[in-house]
Amino acid sequence: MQPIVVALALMRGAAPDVALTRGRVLPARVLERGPNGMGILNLSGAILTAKLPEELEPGERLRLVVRETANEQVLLQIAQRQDLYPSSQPPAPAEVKLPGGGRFAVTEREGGGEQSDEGPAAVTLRCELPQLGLVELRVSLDPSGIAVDAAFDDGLPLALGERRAPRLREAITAVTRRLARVSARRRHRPVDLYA
Amino acid sequence: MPDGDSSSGVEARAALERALAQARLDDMPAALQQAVTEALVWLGRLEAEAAAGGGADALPGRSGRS
Repeated sequence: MQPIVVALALMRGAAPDVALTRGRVLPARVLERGPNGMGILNLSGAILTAKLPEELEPGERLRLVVRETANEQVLLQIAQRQDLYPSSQPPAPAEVKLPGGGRFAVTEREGGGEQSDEGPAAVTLRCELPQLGLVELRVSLDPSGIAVDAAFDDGLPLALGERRAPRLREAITAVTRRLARVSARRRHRPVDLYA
Repeated sequence: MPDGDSSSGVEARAALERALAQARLDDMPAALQQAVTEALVWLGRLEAEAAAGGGADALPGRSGRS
């Protein structure tokens, strides 16, 4: 599908705080379609005119990846389209394969929904990776910021997680513009009391 | 898993976004979704680091531990 094109000046004016670094993911919603392929987009809270692919319809919710900023334009690749009628979607699969290896499952969800775009909310993911083994990730959002609790197996996985935790904190702060806390800890293994 | 920094980092991130889409987190706040994406990218980097030699400086008692 063709990328969405937004004039850089419009973007800078309507959303000066949104960093347009390559690869950044931005939430969006199509508000209106107009003539000549143009339309109105809610992009990370900023209301903008944009050149839209023909396939997009008003009401669609999107996740866009910043592909390129050039010639006074921002090109946004569509990474995800949500159906207009989410209730018709099939249920989420028990496990999702990760590109490049591994898989994850959402084991717990709190909050969310149409009326709670600012949280509080949290999700817990159970990730199985070839090298790191089982990693439990809990990501939560509240008015104080974002917290990530990452539980690793002892040894190299935990050592790496502890050492690289500041990188994740910096990345989340850069992308969301919110305070972030990241902790890496040892994963509690189930105990068989009857053994 | 994508490392987010390679020349194909944008495509890799888009692939990760498609995987995340299957988990139906799209009704969660945008900031939370972005943090989950970053956390999975981070795990991908740790995974690559472990695969590339185990990140020797990360192990307690090895040189480079700060």
